Parts: sequence; structure tokens; C-alpha cells
Amino acid sequence: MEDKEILELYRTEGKQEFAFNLLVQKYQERIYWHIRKLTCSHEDSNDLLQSTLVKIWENLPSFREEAKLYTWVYRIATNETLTFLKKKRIGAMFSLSNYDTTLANKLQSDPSFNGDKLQMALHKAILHLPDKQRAVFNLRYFQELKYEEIAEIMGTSVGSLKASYHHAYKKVKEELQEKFCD
Amino acid sequence: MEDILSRSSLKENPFGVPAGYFTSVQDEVMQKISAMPVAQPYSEEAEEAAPATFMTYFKPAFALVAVFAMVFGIGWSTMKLTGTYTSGSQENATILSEASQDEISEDDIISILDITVEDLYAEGDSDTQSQTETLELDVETIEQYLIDTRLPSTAIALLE
Repeated sequence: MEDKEILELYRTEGKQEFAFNLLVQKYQERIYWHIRKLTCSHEDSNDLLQSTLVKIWENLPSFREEAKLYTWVYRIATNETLTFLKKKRIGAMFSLSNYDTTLANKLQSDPSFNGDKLQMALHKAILHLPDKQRAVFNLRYFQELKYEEIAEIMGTSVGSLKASYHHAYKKVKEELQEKFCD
Repeated sequence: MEDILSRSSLKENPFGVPAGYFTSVQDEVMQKISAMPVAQPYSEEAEEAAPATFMTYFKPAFALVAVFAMVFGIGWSTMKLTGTYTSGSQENATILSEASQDEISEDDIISILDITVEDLYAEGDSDTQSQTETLELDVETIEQYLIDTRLPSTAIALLE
């Protein structure tokens, strides 16, 4: 079902929950994988997915269709995840530990990771990027969203976003080539 | 050289989730939102029809007053804590203590500076002496000076 139809249904008296259910069905997996690649943990991703969906439900009445529904949904999910990561980093700073190492350990010990060595190296290399750049890289590389859409999600200009993505791409590529092309 | 990131296998999702996870998430979220009140969808008509209340008009003013009060409070407490702030009576006490500093005796100055009474007045004496010397210039010297500087004779006559 198209986003427009979901929104029309949502605005029909007594159909809000049904329309929201359709929205959850359509977007939950995409949002989950976006969050999962940023947090490297199923438990954290589950909590964040649920809080994102609740936030969407709370804010849907004020959604004015100035943005596309799916970029708005991604924006909420990205903001929730980046705020979560920021809090975790601050917590790690006070306990004198490095959150990047924690994320790398989570990834390394994830029993649900079914990839090969190269995929593991790729996801580890992505973890070396700053959080916002990681979100941009994931949205472009894995989800193959357009720059304009990512700019809408991240709330930045297309120009700075392109620069950020190319910088991230170069960094990840160099790290992988060092390990696998020597 | 081949771009390693262009390999399609890298774009595949290597992560997994527990079986039936997404169905359970949907149920959990729907349970959560069922417990929440149903918000009315946004509509422009509803927004226009919303009656303006007392708070609609005065909320910004209250916010402004609150901000001023907060800034004043922070400033006052900072001054109070750092000791910059003094009340009227404390100010008078400061003036009095400054006045009492003016009344320091010569003995105190001598003991503090480690000098003798002669040293204290030596400089002042030499000044007085030089002033006296200046005053002791006689009329003849002045006349001679005026002649040397070729002033008109009326000026010299005035001196006489």
C-alpha cells in the first residue's frame, strides 16, 4: 500500500490503529535493519525500534506531509539511534572505556552474524566512522537511498552529505584494501 | 585496481533475528499504543478553529519574564558567591576603612619602610630650597635678561 493511502486511512475516523498497523508492517523491517547496523546489537535495536514506532504514533497527528512519510519515519529512527549512541558514549566516557571497542566486541561476538570475513571486516571498518557519517554511509551504501532523501532524513544539505559520504567511502575502502588486497 | 566495495556480496545483510521477531514486535507495539490515548489527526480547519485562550497571548511574555528572572538570579548568585556583591552598610564600612588608612602615623610609615625621619623629609627639603633659590633672583639679573632678549624699553621701565 502507498504512503498516501495509509495517511488517508489514518485520517478516517476510527481507522487510526488499522492505518498505523499497516505503516508498522511496511516500515518495521527497514527501520530495524537501519538501527541494527548502527547499534550492532539486537537487544538495543529492538528497544529503539519500539520507541521509534511509539514516537511515530505520537507524532503522526502532527505530520503535515511537508516531507515524504518514509523519510520522516527514517528521520525519527535515525535521531532516536544517534541520541542513544550519544548517551552510551557519554556513559562510556565516565566509566573510562571506549564505546567503539564495545561496539566492535558486540559485532565480533554476535551469534546471529552469518557473513564471511570480508563482510565482518566491512562492518568493523564502518564502526570506525563517526556516528552521523555511519548513518549516512549505511543509508547510501546498503539502503541505496538518493542523496536528496538522505539529506531530508539527516537534515543537512546535499552538498555536505555527498562530501561526507565520499570521505566515508574512501576511508572504508582503504581499510578493506589494506587487509584484503595486499 | 578493483573497487572492493563494489562487490555485490558486501551489500547483503549478514545479520539475523530470532524467528518470528517482526510479528512479535508489531503485537508489542500495538499493545503499547492501545494503552495510549488516540490523538486526533492534524487538520488545518481544526487548527484555525481552535479558540485563543489567555495563555495563547501571555505565554511568550511569561517565558520572557522567566528568562530575565533566571538570568538575574544566576548573576546575583554568582556575585554573592564570589563576594563581588556588597550591600549599602558593607560599602560604608569599606569607605571607613579607607579613611582610616589616611590616618597612618609617620611612625608607622617609618617602621614599614625602614627609613629614618631625616630620609622621610629629605626630598621635601630639597624642593623647598630650590624654590627659595628661584625667588632670590634680583632685579638686576632680570633687567640684564630682558636686555639680552631685546625686549622693548617700556618693559624694562615697568620693572623699575
